[in-house]
Amino acid sequence: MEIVLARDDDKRYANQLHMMEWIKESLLLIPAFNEEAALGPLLDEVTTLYPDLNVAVINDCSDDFTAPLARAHGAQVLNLPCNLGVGGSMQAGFEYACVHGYRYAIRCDGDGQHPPAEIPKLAAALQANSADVVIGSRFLGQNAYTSTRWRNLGIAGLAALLSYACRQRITDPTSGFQMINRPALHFFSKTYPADYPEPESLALLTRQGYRVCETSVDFRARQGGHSSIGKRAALFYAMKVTLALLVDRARAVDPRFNRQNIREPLAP
Amino acid sequence: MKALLELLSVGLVLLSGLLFVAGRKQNRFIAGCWLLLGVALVLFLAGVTFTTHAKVMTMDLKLRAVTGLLSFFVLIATMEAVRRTQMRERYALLWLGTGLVILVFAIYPTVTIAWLQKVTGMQYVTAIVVVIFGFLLLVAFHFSVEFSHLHRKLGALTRHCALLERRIEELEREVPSLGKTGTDKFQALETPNPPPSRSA
Repeated sequence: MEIVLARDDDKRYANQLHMMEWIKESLLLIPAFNEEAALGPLLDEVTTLYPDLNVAVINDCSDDFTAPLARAHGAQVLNLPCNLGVGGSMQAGFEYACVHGYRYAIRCDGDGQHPPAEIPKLAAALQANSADVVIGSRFLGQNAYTSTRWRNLGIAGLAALLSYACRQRITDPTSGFQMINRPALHFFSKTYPADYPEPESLALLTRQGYRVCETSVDFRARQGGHSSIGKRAALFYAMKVTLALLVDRARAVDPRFNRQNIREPLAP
Repeated sequence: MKALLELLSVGLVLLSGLLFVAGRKQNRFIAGCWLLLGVALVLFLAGVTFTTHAKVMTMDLKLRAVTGLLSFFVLIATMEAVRRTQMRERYALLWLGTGLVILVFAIYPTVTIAWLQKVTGMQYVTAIVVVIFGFLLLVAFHFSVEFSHLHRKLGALTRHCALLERRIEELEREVPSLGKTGTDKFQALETPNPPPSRSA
């Protein structure tokens, strides 16, 4: 199966009619841990918006009926036999997408915070900037998303640190609403940080020469379930991510996954 | 106090000797260890009687006895754990190293302490504590590294399992003769009325 990279064919997205062609070649990955409440409506929304989009729910060893619910709503379900956290679930999803030869993977949280209606925006940004990874940012543009003061402060500090690490402006380092293309998918299926992966994964990507860009997205309020990051965990999050960002700079770059070295079509 | 210790050590020698000679074969190793410990104690106590004319043990000697016992305990416990395959050899090495270093400190206090005092300026007790603490730190560090390795391997295994399970599900869908087995069966059990699944 030959796969041509997105940045190599410009005509592909020229026609508006063919705009949605990428949707058949993408896989929507939803990591879910006890997301019974919000997952059903989200999956229904995705199905009505994009009937052709394949959806994989990664059930991170939930205690509730997340897996059968997702299956009943027509999603493919990856059942992790033990809890790995968001990072481990996402890597499982990336491996799955890579094995099945998808060209794009879209990541979206299972709590309904990320509106599926905004997915074409991500795809458009991916194409327009010829980027490998697009992040849906809460803080870019008009929509002023506000959280608690301390959380905002933490996110701002993390954004500054990450912007320095990536040598480009990143406004929303913790956003899990992303779209990635096949080279980045290949990289992520091999290397993905374990817990609180989003900021670190961006730093790793830019270090390997991948292009990252952001686009503004309106996030919704959480539709159900609980945040995986509580008050105490937020401090741990900040420290863990800071350490990871600092140490990653001191690591050698893996030339096998360098962006320049993944020019040729990747066999699924 | 000393008489009690002598009695204990002689008793230990006799008991473990008996176990060594007459006991079951798989207990021979541990009996041998205890025999060695008993002999060492006897020799140590004899040495004490010959070198010091006073009937009471000095603090230095007590300390040597305690550290010697400690090292013996560590060594025997480690070897026994390895023998019972409760501990892998690579983890045992650090523990054996700890025990041996403490043993050397107990047997040759003058040489080691003179050296340690020259290097660090510490007293005997402090030096022993620092050595033990240092080795425990090493062991803990080793564990952290190994935990991280294990965590990575566990993650890889878990992901692979999940992918394989999904693959089985796909194959079951491909082969109609399999019917309601495996994951489909679970699905049927979990959901009363599953709607027809899409594009899976």
